[in-house]
Amino acid sequence: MNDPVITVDGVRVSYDERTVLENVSLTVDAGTFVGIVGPNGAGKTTLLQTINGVTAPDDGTVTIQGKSVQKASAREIAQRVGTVPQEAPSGFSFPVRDVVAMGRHPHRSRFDRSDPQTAITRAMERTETVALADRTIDTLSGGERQRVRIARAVAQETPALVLDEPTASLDIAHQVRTLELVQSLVNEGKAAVAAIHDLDLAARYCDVVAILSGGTILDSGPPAAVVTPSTIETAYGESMDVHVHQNPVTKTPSVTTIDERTTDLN
Amino acid sequence: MGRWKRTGWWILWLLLAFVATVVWSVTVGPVSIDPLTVCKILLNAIGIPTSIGVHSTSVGGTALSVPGIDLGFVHPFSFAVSQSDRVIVTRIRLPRIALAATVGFGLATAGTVMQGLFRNPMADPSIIGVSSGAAVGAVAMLVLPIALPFGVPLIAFLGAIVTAFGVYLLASSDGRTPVATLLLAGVAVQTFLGAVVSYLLLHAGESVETVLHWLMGDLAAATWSDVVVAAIGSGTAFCVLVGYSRDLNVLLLGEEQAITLGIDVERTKQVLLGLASLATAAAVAVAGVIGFVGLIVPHMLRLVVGPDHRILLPTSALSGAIFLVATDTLARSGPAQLPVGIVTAALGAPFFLYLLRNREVHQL
Repeated sequence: MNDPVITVDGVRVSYDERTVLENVSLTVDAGTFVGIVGPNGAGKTTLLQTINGVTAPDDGTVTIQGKSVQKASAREIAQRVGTVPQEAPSGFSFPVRDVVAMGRHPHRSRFDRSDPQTAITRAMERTETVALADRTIDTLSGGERQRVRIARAVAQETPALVLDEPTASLDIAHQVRTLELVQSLVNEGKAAVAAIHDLDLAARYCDVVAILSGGTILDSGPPAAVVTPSTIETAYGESMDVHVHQNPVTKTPSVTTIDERTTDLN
Repeated sequence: MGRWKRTGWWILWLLLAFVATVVWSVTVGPVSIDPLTVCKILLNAIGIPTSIGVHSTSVGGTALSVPGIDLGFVHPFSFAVSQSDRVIVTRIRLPRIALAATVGFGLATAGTVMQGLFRNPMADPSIIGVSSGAAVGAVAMLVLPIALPFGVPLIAFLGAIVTAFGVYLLASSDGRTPVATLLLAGVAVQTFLGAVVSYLLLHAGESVETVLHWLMGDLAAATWSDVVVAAIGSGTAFCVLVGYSRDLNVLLLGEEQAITLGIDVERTKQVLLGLASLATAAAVAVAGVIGFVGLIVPHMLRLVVGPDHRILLPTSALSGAIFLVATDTLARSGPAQLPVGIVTAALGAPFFLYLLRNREVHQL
């Protein structure tokens, strides 16, 4: 498929004196899952924020299906980009159904008092959160809460999906379950872009991996082409020794890091 | 659909409680009037506008004439009641009760919105300095030898609005107004204005008692025109804010998530702050500084009906009205009439501590 949904072109973002992103370009097509990997502080979250309209770039453009994010209202962006935010403490106790219903917010006028049940129920069925509908969000486990956040973004019914560290605080079972859910949403035609720390998971589930380091994209392409010892060492620092092999089960690249001290001991 | 039914029932019950509180309140006073008579007088007072006419009044002996509207009323009830009872109820007690109700309604509305917007359980209607600004205006007016048309209420109202606007500007930079900055700027400005009020108090002389009554919130001098001022302020704010209940819910997730769910966060903040401050300013202007209503009533209701502003906002507003009518009745029922602010704080603070010890008040 060659139908660009998200187009990031020459984006620069700086906070005060510090440049966070420099000349970043990225395209995410419909039906494609792009994983952004890179060290802490590389600018992954900032890049996602330029796509969902939270951060306005100083330079460059971001468009969603040809619509400029900088020129669009928050509402217009939210009708096109659904966001699954990072795990954060929830200081309130809304029932799950109400949280998912918030995904319909950008589609409803202020005086619309109807209950858009179909979209909400569909999103909950899709994410297997129906059984949680009447529980309050603060009583759920981390994995359940993550599914509810995804359900909310699915209820937005947007062509583009942005996920910030969707697997960060999950156990291995929920990590796989979450990424498989994203993958199946992508197979239905959504364009998804996620910041992912775990290189193996990124390589296994994403169609395209983009390595971000020091505010620029070092390399992007199919996982097997990008996840190589040389790019990883460049991205994460030369002091590391990296071994990449093909995982015998998933047939995708798997990364093992070898600390210099460990090698010295051998 | 379930939520609508639930909201409807809550509003119905609270309205009944409100009517009961008002009837009880009217019976209380130096001359005791039995509840049945009170009901008769209240029903007699109901008027349905049936005709409309226009008249002109000339203002201050000038040639300027102001058109006014005459409404013709039909009173469906005419029970026989004694003239003296009728005058006591409609001229003395009802204006004060109506003012307590509208002020309580407005303060609880503003408090609910401020707590939601700031995501901070200690936020109250005056968090951005509205009451302090009103206090400086009112105290200056009472202490200094100045006279202006509309007197204390107008100056208090202007002081409130100017302060709220000033705090907002102080906390804004690059078109963004972080709520944490807003909160701290509010605290700083309140401290500064508190010093101004204290300084003015030193020079209050004979007017010190009037000033203290105003600073503790007093409904004793209530008139129907005060009621109109408070009702316009809280009514306008409430009606618009109800339309923002879903935005308030989404804002509880945090500003960043609110943006990704399509909320123009900065604009919404301006609307919410502006309306909540308007309701507070109107209330403070006519009733003085009444603490705790806007702080604890929303907390109580949040514990009972949950955090959803679609049900929280109307139930809080009605409960605020009930709470202030009830506390003001207590304030005027003792041998010495107390400013209502003393009663709300004296009853409110222990109750708040009780909530703090027994419930999870750390959540919004």
